[in-house]
Amino acid sequence: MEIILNGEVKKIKTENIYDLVNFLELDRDGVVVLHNDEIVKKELWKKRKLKIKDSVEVLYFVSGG
Amino acid sequence: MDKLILGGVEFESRLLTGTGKFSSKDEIPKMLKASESQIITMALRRVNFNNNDENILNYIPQNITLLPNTSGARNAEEAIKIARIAKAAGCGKFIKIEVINDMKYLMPDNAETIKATKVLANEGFIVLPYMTPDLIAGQRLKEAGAAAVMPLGSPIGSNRGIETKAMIEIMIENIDLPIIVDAGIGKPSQAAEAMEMGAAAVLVNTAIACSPNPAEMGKAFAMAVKAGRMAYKAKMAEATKYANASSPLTGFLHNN
Repeated sequence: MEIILNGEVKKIKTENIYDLVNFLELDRDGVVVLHNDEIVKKELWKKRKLKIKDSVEVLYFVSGG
Repeated sequence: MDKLILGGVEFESRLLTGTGKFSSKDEIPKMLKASESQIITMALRRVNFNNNDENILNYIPQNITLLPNTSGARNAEEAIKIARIAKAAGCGKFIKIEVINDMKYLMPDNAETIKATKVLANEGFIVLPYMTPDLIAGQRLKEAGAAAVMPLGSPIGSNRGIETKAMIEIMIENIDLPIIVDAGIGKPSQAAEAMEMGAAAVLVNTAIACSPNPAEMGKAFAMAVKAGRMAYKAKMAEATKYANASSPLTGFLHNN
């Protein structure tokens, strides 16, 4: 299905946030995920189902002053 | 003793640092150790799936207080959103509010900063707002619940020093909160100057990060901050227009 991942249309086969983060090979401890503009706690990633056209933002900490 | 207290949390060091602009992130832990800085800033961004830069938190020792900033926010609402995300990410309660619309000088928007401060302080954040030096805006930030006020010395990354000195002095004199000079400090002597003025702390990023030897420069800043603070506490002698002899002028050669 297609979702909007970090602002871009992306085809994915995964059904929840947890599997998506794994599929993207991201460091689970280091990222924050927003699902349809709502922060999803890590404990809830497996339960949070993705639907077509959902927006997912994956954020992390970078250098900054 | 003479500790920096922010939102009830005590710090020995009065030098806050930033993680931006280091040529190698491996320099960051070395700089933190050499400078004894206990608070460091970082920013939140979208993951770039093509070029996944390593998480900055991997380079910051556990005992350092994280100060995520809201850079990229153009209004209060965006700053609030970033702050909440940072907290959800486990960054703790500290937040540096930074709301900027002016892309030439990167001057913070005080009105939006006050709004964001009010909301976030109410939610239990320890709010450190970066602001354009102004007494009234500083007072409003205090009323809004800020833990400190962080006026800029000169534009971010400009290394021009404390060009807003007169305004910051008025803020230090009249706002009963720690005043932290953030942005523009380009060399240790300018950090010492801020501390001599009575600033509670300084935040230095570019001047340390862009040195070929950030650890050494961090240590130099730490020494300057300590010297400036010591001088402020010891109270400096007043400047006068005319000379005041340090040695006795009366004596045996002349009668007047």
